[in-house]
Amino acid sequence: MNPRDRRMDALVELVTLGIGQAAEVLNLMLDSHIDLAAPEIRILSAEALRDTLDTGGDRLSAVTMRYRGEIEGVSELVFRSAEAGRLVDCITGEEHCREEGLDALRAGTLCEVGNIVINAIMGAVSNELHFHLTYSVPSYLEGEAGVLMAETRLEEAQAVLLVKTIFRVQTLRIEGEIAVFLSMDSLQRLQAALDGYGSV
Amino acid sequence: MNLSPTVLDRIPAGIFLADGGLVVRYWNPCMEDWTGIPAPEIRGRPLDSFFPAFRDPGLRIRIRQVFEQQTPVVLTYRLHGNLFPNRDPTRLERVFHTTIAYLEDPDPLAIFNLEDRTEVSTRIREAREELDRRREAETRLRAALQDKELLFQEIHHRVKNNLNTVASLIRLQMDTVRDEEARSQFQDLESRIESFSALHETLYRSQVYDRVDAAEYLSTVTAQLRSSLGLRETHVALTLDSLELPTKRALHLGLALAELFTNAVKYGDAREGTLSIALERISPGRARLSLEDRGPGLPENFDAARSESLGLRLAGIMADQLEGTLSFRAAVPRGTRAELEFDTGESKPSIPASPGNSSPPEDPRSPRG
Repeated sequence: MNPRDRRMDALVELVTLGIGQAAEVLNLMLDSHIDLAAPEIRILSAEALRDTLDTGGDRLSAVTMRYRGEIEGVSELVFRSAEAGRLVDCITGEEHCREEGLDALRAGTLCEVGNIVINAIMGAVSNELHFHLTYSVPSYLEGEAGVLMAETRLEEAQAVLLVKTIFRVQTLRIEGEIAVFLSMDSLQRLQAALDGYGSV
Repeated sequence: MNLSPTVLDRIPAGIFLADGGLVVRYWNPCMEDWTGIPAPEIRGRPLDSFFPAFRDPGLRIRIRQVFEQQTPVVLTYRLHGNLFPNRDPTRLERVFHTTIAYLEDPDPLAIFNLEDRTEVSTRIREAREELDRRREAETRLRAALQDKELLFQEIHHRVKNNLNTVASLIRLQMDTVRDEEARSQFQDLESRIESFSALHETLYRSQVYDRVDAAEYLSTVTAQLRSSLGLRETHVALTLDSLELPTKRALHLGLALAELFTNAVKYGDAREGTLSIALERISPGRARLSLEDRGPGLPENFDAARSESLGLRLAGIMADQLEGTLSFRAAVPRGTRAELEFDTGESKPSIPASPGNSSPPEDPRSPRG
């Protein structure tokens, strides 16, 4: 197996671990049973991400947390705003699906869900790879892909670890993306750590 | 503690510190006010002995992440309810957005920051209730509008049927009359009633009640006139521009056409010949209805204004109602051309939709204008 494949295998293992922990926390906390899956993990350039997130004018909702330490960047959980609203309403048992954006309270709820998922993924990565990271408190962003990228100053990031995430609550299936933005230095450190992790 | 309590005391947010066992180490004045628990009473005591919600395993796991991973944690009102109720139940229930972050001071601590979102929450709830009320009102209005449209449709349908019955009665009466002049007058009356009927037919079909497509309406009037006058051999050439008119103006135009049409049939040899009818927009707000026959043409010294023909007088009254002019001249190569230039009423406020819009014209015996 070449190093690239080995790193990807290690990443899949860490993300799967994180997703499992996130599902466990969500199920302990919520009345509805929630299933989480991460069927697709890839590393792409920040430029390619802009195209991936381009929804043709649909608004996006994102929970974002900055992190710094051995690796630095931003972690985001991104949904189409309408999907984010459906997820929040399904979790809280309220019905406001007709509204396009998220008001402050619904945005707060999405923030908490995003916080749980990002904490679990980043926690799994940092614990297993022995990175010491500090984080900003999660914040909510809404807008088109370009606005989101500008707001988070993601142009500085060279690479993105993108995890397609599927939430299943009752009969609902909501698709989101976890995007972990990395500078070139951070990407190299992550790759080195993954090489070490793979060899254990 | 390295964090100066005086700074934390003055921050207008609920702030407290707890260690890894969730024992409270610091409690700021805002927390005292919001919970009714004085700092000396809670300091050194487990948080869950005052707030039992913190015994929940889900919350415990998340707070543990703060110490183990040093990841900040958000707790929202909508997912957890009020985690910090005031011990005085008569006090206002607040909506808190709580953030917990890791702090090394030098012992590991968690700093809880409670943001009061009660006002935002109230405003959002009120806005939602207002939105729900508006949606409900909109639904009721739509239903009422649909009912009104159905009612209008039904009214126009019934009026059309009643007018057709009246026209049939006139025809039956006409069949019992032998005098040609009297028969002709019955015939004219029937044509006039049918032009009314055609308007209601057009309104009923279009389901728009304040405006009428004049081209569609005039072609219906023409078809009914051909039928009632028994014009099987007449070739009628229609060239009608699509032109929307207020219902009342369309009615006047239809009546004018009925008069000019029956006039052409009577005096213009149209029974077995050709009639050309055209409707065209000639300038913004102005249009022209013309009718041309291939008959013997106008009599010498013809003056429409002095004509004693009821039909021509009616056509003249309709022209006045339409703020227009009615003129007659010789057609090329032969026959008569009648032209009615009129105002389309585009610059005028539209007449509200009402079944009463098809009121009959003024009494022809009254002075013009």
